[in-house]
Amino acid sequence: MATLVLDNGAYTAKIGYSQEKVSVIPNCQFRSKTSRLKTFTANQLDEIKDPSGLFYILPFQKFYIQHHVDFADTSIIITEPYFNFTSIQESMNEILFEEYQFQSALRINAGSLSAHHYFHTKPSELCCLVVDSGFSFTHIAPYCRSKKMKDGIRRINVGGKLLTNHLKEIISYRQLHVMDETHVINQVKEDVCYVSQQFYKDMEIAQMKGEENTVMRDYVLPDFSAIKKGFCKPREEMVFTGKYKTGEQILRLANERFAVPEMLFHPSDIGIQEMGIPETIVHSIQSMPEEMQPHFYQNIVLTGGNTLFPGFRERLEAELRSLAPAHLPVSVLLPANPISYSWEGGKLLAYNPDYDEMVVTREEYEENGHCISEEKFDI
Amino acid sequence: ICEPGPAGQRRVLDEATRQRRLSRQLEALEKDNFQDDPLSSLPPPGPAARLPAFSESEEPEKKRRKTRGDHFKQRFRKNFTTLLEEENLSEKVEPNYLSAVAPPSSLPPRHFCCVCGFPSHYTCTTCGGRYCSSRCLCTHRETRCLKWTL
Repeated sequence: MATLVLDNGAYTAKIGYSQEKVSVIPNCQFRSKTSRLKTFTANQLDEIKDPSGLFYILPFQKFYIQHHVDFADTSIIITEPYFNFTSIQESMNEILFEEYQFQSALRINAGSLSAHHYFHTKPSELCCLVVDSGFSFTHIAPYCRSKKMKDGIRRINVGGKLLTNHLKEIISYRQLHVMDETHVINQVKEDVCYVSQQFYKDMEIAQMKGEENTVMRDYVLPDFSAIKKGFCKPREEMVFTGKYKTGEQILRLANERFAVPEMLFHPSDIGIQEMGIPETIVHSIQSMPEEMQPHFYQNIVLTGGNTLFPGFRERLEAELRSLAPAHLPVSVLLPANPISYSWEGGKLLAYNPDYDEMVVTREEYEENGHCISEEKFDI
Repeated sequence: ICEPGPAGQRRVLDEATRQRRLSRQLEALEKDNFQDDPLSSLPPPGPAARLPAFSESEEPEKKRRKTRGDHFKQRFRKNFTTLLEEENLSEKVEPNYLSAVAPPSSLPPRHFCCVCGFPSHYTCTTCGGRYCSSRCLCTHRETRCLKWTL
């Protein structure tokens, strides 16, 4: 029986069979204004997986058309956010069992899959702390012996969406109106933004004029005819005084490059009254029993798209080092692919000997209804 | 060089209004850009649209798929805030969605100029926006200060 692993994220869905490789598809529906052609038939999710059944149907439709899935013979592992609402969980059960008629299903937190992956690669460790910084928010979740510690889970309401929206606002105010160009500015954010190691020093450098300003970069915007995709101009080609001779649209970014990702470390920069990632990690670990705390500090795993900012891991480690007790070693792991890390965990879980006990089969659901999944899944 | 103007003529927003404006701005940052596709009610493009459907079996199947999708869309029209209220989390046992939120930071917030983004040391007396230099204050006064009503 094949097992399908679906890491259902608000920005991308990571999907694939447990024997094969993962595909990362954008979880939203694009329509071009001129041609009414569907480019990707996957559907956009709301902040916390709005229970619109429609949003779930289409990614499955197109994907399954390509892969010829035999539902009745397939088991599915699908991820949900921590503390997902009961109504959404119930709708999910209905969709999986009644709509698609999967043979069995396992609904689980993405962080649990990441923890499983981590413990698989480091069998000697007892505890780990999963930092999942994604599109909608950032979760910090401690795990001990593969069980999540619910009391220690923390959520920061800052995610990639907030960073992109903020970048759109400041560019629209300072340079060029881009409030409708979410996709383009998202690309700008991924290409050009980085996490600074010395915030105030970088601010000073960004204020300098001309060539001394090593932080400033020019970004060429796509015009969809000659330039299909935006790119950052290399420093050799930059013109510091005067205008560019070519007709391209340029964004000049200096302090935005590192001020935007800074919001992950200091949400109070724009007025969100929450702790940043380093402080939240310390807060979460301090709520755990004292004998476990050193183990958590040594096994911090970073997952999610926001961790791909250059300098993220180093900055986080430095901030944690200054906040954590001096006698405890601190170790932060950034895996080779933070985006598919939890999907890979799902793949490993499918081969786990206990897997068959963790799932809810369609027969069990039809007999017992939602309560069986409430008991088994503990989301 | 623009002149800030006599202070007595400008009205000053109180703290509550400033808080409301800030909340409004933060909410705007959370929006999803999700729009119902305005063209979804139109027939699909391509050869299927031009040729009338001849076979009887094809049409009802297409209709069925469309209604199934629509049915779900109608049923789950509720947005996030409605769902949150329905969950009635204040009565639920901790930890839950609301209790898992990170607490406020123990470090003081840093302020940045609302015009240029560099660290700011001064506050606009009318609306509370931060600025770093008199030039930024002029830009702020001309473009943004009290430019939209709450």
